[in-house]
Amino acid sequence: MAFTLYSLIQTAILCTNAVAVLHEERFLSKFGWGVDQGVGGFGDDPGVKAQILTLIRSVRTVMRGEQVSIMAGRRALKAVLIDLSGTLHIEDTAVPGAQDALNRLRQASVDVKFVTNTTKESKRSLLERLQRLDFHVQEKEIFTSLSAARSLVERKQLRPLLLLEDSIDTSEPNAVVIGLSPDHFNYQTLDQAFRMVLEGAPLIAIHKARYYKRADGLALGPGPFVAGLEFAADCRATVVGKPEKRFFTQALSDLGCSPTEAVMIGDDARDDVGGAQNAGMLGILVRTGKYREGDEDKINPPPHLTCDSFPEAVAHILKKLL
Amino acid sequence: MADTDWPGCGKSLKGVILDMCGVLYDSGEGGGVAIPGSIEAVKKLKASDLQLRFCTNETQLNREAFVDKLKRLGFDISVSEVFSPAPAAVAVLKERGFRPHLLVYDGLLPEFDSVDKTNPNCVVIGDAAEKFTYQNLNEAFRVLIGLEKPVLFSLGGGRYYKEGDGLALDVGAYMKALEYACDLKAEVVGKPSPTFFQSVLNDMGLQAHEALMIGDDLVNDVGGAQNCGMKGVQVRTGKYRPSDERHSTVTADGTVDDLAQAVDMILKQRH
Repeated sequence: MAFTLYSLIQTAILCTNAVAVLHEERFLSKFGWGVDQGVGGFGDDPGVKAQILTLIRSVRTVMRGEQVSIMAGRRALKAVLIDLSGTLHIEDTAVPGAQDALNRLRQASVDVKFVTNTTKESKRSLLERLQRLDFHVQEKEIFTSLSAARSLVERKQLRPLLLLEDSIDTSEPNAVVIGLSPDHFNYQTLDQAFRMVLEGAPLIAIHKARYYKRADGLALGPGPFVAGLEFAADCRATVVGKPEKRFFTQALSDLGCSPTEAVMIGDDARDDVGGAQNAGMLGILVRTGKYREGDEDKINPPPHLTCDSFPEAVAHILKKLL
Repeated sequence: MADTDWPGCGKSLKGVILDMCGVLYDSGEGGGVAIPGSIEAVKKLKASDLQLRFCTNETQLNREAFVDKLKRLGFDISVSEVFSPAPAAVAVLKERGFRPHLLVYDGLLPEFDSVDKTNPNCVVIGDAAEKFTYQNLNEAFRVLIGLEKPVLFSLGGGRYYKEGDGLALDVGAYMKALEYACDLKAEVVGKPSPTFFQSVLNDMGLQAHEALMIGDDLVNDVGGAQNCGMKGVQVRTGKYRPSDERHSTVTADGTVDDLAQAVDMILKQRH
């Protein structure tokens, strides 16, 4: 049997691996080859057994060193992105314990950013509501998909037909921008948007949320209407909000950290958690807001963690991820 | 090959199925307007030895009212010759024990009079036009999302139709919206469902290859018919768009200017 160089290398690797996985308590100690057994003091000449033991321990240290550096890339958590509606609050009611949890998170010296797809309110009014509910938040910590949309429209110099709340009337629109706007989701406005898109106007969706939780129950988000227009006009919308990768990387960009150093907490399995994990972050799904039984099974890979609410998510982060 | 392609196939045909909106008439103000030449074309077909049926996804009116409207426009047509989704849907609902929450135009409601609508376990959506408000769509959505096994029936799956001087979203767009919201697939009753076309063929007592479908909707009329084994011809009236002639998946057996031209071409083959 010829020993090729390759098979020699293979054997060497396998042997090293075998040595590295020798378990201290379950194996070595039973044979009297544990760390504290049979090795003489410093002055003595090392016997063969001592030398072999040293070799085993060296191999294990080196191999474990590599493991630690891989884990460190994930463990050094620098930022937490937090969804607003459904995670910190539902309409004008805060999730119980959320304010304290947020304060505890801040004390742990991680950067915090609030990310939201909401297009019904400006940053100012979002801020005011959060402060009324006793959350300590600053305006610059809020990142919305509306900002992402505005920068796209400006960059491409488009004149938008805005299906948004409080729309500014723009004359001769040549693009359709859709956010959450129940007032505009009627057949007249949709027909108008449809005709424009058919003529070639770009269709921009702030986000494609299927539905969200209101005080009186679940309600359709803009996603279904975007899907309807895409089907009718045979086109694809450009989505700027969650769960697009671009949204998450933009949110983290001014925190100076990469997605592997961040975790996202949200109530929407697909848009919050799925989107964040797709961008390289860890995702924590909370069972408040629009969460429904079994949502965690709908994304692949599944959420890093599914827990009852924001305070539990924070407790996990403080205990396990820092 | 000449005899089996268009228009040669006109010689061996035994039946013709006509789409209505966009072929016979165009929707619009005051109930609509007949497309030039279509009234005559229908008369010629009836005078020939070909069987004739009308197939529509019209769901704003019940059949009686709809046929009355066409008679007033000058068409020779009767209810028994018209196939529309609503009666087909009613049969399906009763057969499978479904009680519907209806999101349909008021004019269509009489078709569902005999159906039990209490405690709904499914949603039926039709071309509801101005009844497609956020409120009504949300209500339908809530019924579906609250069911353990949500079922959505769509009366037709068309993307758009011609109305007045422009195009308007058809039921298909709203069907897609609810499909997306609830993560389900709707069951389409009406064109282009093969079951629907088959029921028309059964009524005529014909095999698919003995019939020809003429419509303005490339995917639902022509494509749907071809899917069943019929020939399909597209007219350049109604919702036709030039890009239809370069469609990626459906190629019509023939494309003609309007119904009048199609009928002339067929009848010429039969002399």
